[in-house]
Amino acid sequence: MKWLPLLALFAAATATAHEIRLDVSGSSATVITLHYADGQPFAFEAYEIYPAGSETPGQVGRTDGRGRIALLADSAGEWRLKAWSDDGHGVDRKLTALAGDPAAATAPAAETPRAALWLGGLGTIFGLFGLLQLYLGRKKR
Amino acid sequence: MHIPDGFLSPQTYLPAWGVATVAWAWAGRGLAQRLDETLVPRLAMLTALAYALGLIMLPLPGGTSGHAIGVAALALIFGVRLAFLAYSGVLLLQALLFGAGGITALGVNALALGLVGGAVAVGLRRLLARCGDNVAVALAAFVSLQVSALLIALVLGVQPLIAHREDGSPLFFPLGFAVTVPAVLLPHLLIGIGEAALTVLVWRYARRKGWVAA
Repeated sequence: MKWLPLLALFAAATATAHEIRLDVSGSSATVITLHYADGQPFAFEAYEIYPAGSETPGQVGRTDGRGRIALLADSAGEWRLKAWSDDGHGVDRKLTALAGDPAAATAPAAETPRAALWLGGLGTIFGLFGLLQLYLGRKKR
Repeated sequence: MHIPDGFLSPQTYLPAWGVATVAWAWAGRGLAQRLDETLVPRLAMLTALAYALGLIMLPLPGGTSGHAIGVAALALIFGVRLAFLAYSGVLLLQALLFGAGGITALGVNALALGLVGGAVAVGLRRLLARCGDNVAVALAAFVSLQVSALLIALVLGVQPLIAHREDGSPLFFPLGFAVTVPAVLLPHLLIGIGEAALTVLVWRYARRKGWVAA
């Protein structure tokens, strides 16, 4: 019986191993924002982030209501972001991150304004069909 | 509904590219005889319309977005072959310029949307010809979009089954049929109504202008 208090003490000590503790601290993170072309956020959708050179995701979760993901890169290199919605929308992109420097993270983003790309596409279509029309005209002659 | 790069396994996109290449060759055969100076500007206009439609995202209930595609209009006016070729070009441009859809996924997207979508629209309009022109065209456009959407959902949903790690975790698109089929089809029921209305408008315009036989 005299061992009982000691046993209880030991049990209490091991029980704390199952307790989840919360540490709160301030930190800087790279914020990745995903959105549809019309600006609508890619909200509450699943994502996986793979550290440079890893085939196992280092971070999984869901975007927040504004389509954001907070990334705390702890190694430099090309990280990979996969995000998807149930209906097959999504991205699979590389991000260049620097450990401990969240502001230095970059993604190869399109710099050209969307309207310019849109017009460029229309120009390509009409240009190609214009060439075809010219070819047909010459062939006829 | 274009599938982006990185969502499809090579077991899917390589055969799809193979089939699409054969289909493009088939569609291109006899093109020179078919095209003339009156057809080219019309085809250019509707191809541009399909391109523009694909980039106008409409917010849908449930926090997702969708867009009309214009394949049914192309197919009903110019036939399946021309529609398939024109829409494949549209998909290529959208992938290169906007990352909407992908290059690896181009074969699957072109087959599901351009070829199957176009063929269903043309076939169904013929089948429903007795229902009246507007009804036949509207139903053809609506159903062709649903069939294309179903194919896309099936291709996405099969990925976890055919491409996964040893522990079973998926390598590419991770969600199965039970998720993809309703997630892709339900929004397209709504988009299909818009697609049908738009196709009827374009069809009626084409009829009025004498682009298609009465």
